[in-house]
Amino acid sequence: MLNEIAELARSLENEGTLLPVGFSPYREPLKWVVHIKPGNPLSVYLEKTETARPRPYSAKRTSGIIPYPLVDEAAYALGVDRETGGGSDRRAAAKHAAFLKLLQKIQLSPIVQDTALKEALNVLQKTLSQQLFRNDPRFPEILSKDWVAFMFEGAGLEGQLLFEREEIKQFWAEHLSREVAAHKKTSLVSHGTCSVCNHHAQLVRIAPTKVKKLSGGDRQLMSLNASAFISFASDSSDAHLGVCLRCAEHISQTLNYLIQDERHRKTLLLALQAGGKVNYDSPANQVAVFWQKSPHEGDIDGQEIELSTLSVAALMESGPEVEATLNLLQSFLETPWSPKDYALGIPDNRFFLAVLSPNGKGRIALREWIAVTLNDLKDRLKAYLQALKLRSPDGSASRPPTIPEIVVALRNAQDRKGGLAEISPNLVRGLLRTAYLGTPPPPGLLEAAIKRLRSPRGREMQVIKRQPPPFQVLAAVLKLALYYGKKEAETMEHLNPLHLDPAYLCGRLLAVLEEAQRRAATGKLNTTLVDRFYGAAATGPAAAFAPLVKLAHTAHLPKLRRENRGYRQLEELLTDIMTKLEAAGGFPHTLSLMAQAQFALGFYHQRAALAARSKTEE
Amino acid sequence: MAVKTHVRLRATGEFACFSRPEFKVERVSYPVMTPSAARGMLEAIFWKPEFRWEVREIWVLQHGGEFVLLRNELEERQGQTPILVEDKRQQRASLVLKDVAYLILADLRLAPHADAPLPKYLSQFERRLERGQCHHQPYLGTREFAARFEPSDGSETPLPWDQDLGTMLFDLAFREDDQRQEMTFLRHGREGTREAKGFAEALFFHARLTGGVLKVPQEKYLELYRLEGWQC
Repeated sequence: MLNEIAELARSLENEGTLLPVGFSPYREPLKWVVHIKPGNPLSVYLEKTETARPRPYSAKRTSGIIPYPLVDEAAYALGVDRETGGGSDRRAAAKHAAFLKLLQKIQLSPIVQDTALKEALNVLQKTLSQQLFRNDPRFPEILSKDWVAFMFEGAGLEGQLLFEREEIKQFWAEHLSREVAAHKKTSLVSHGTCSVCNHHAQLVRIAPTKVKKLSGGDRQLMSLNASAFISFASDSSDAHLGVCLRCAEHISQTLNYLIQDERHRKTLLLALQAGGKVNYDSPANQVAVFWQKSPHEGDIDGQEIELSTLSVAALMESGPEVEATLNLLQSFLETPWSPKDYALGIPDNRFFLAVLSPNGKGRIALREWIAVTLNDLKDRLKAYLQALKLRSPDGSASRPPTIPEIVVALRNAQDRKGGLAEISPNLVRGLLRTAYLGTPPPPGLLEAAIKRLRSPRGREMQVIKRQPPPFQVLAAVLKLALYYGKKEAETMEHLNPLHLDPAYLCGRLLAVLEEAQRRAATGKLNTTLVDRFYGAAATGPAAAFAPLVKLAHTAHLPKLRRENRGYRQLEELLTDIMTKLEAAGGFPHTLSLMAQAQFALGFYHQRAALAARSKTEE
Repeated sequence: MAVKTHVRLRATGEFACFSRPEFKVERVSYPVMTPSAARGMLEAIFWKPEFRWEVREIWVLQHGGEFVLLRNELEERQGQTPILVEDKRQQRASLVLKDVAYLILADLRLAPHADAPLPKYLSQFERRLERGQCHHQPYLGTREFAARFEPSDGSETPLPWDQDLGTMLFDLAFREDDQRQEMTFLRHGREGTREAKGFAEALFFHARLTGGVLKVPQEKYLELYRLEGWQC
């Protein structure tokens, strides 16, 4: 996984998207620029600014005193101790001394060869030692936490911030590498082969940049914290991560890039506590990041669209754009590769998807890693979406549900405390694997869907908050679990009168009996026989159906015949189903989990078919 | 076409975790067995200071995919001082492999101080393999994932799997060093066995699966011997 991220990092670096090694974007702006004009005497003036610029960063600077090169907070850069609210930074003098020491190191470093830069550093040294910046009338406005940078107005360096010079960036990378690679006790630096780039380098103990905003906090993908998780070192203070600074930085920065870009990130599951609050530190949170080895935009139905974005349409949350994107995806899956695509190597282009979870406050765990060629992806996604395809409750054609919609349908019933019922994170990742790797649907999916269907909320046929009706989603899930990769995935998209499974026929029969009751009723029914008997009919049809069929023949159907409310159609349907059931061996006594799924699917299909027929008649 | 080797061992197991060095806390396995894990399996069955195992090829016979385990683990190594488990517990995720089977093709290389011919050690190994004898139970990457082992019957076919696996751990070189005395290990030679101090250095190679076969670059063994100061 890290190899592929490092590969992406190289292409982002070439595009200029990645920051220099050891740099980070800051929320706080750069507030002051100290302009130094050479001459005799030296002219120094302060410029107030509000610029957001990436600056040097080290994860080690929490409570310790660690200066940054030629740009820092005023306490470091100028020794200012004034704090907001009238307080005073007691460590300002020590911080400034550390800043001056680092400046000296830069001056002596063999990396700094540019004569103009050397001259600028000498003048800066003089400016700071003589504290010439204090003469500016704006100096009292500077607070210790304000960020300060320096600009030299001579020797051809005009208009450039000194810390942004290439040689200063290189110095910082080198300096930081030593800082994060040195052992705590002995200050020795481990050298070895980097496990990502396979080059001999200094191996770092901590990654300087954290992965930001993953599940509500900043965390590390690679870190060591306890003796049980290290090898070949006495304790974690001596152990290294096995990667060089460049790779550690590239991986953290690239993950930050992927996580912060909506085109490369989807939240799969949030861990909800009682009351609906999200527990961001729980490993049940699942975030997917994805990308394509060579980004490519395909021309689909006249639209230019990035294929990696399209490939994750199955992960979209409900919204107005889901329909359109899924239609585009269907078009992409239906269209065979053209000779031009082969010439460009698109079918062999690889798609990568990683599922990340937080673990506690500081760490990230890799929960899933998927790497497939677009050619394989196309076949697998096609089979997956086909298995999920189902007519809508009114009998019209409908799109397959996305994974977040499936999650909502599986957890839609409220528990006693008012929170949402929990869903296993393994189910979500299992669905991903089925969609992208072609593995069989996850074990437990069938059980979870059947459990939800026992609740009246699970059998809801109305669209709620732009989500497809829960029953449709759950029936689609059952179809996926029963027929993924089989030819029935197509034939069972709608009512199949040739499907003679006894459980399926029982499900159909229950839908017909309910329709008879509904038509016979004069007003709106508060509770139908389905509300009362679904659970019993779905598990023990032989016992449950006898009184229901008798009720239909003695009460509901005669009323329909007398009042001419579609008696003939229902009677024919009943006779047809009962004949087929008898031929299949009669009502089963008990239904297994698989048979219960067939029952639910039969019930859904028949209900949708009846609704479609009523719609046509209207 | 397989290379001609001294030993062919078939190893199977329900789970395997060949931990990547960069993911040691929240573990992530390499997609296939590493050469060092294969060496560990062979050494679990038979090892003497007079020889070293050199893995030539690893065939992937079965790969049941990946599997995530979330376990409560101990954060401290266990030693002579007893620890209270409840205070030292951490929940950790591991991305492991399931239902795997490999065929390991390896050679024996005699150490300079060996005083018996190669066939002696080979026969000993074969006898142990036939009888299912081992010094400790061989495992697939980590000790909790025990492996079953048997001699190859020659009917094995690798999976049709082609993939560039990127950088993979080859093995560890235990280097003597006065400056970096991070660990103690044993050195064997003509004069007997002695304790040496130094550090462990991980060696890597660019791994590629071709037709389900991972070929191990033999020049890496020479590098390993050079780093460990082995004369061969």
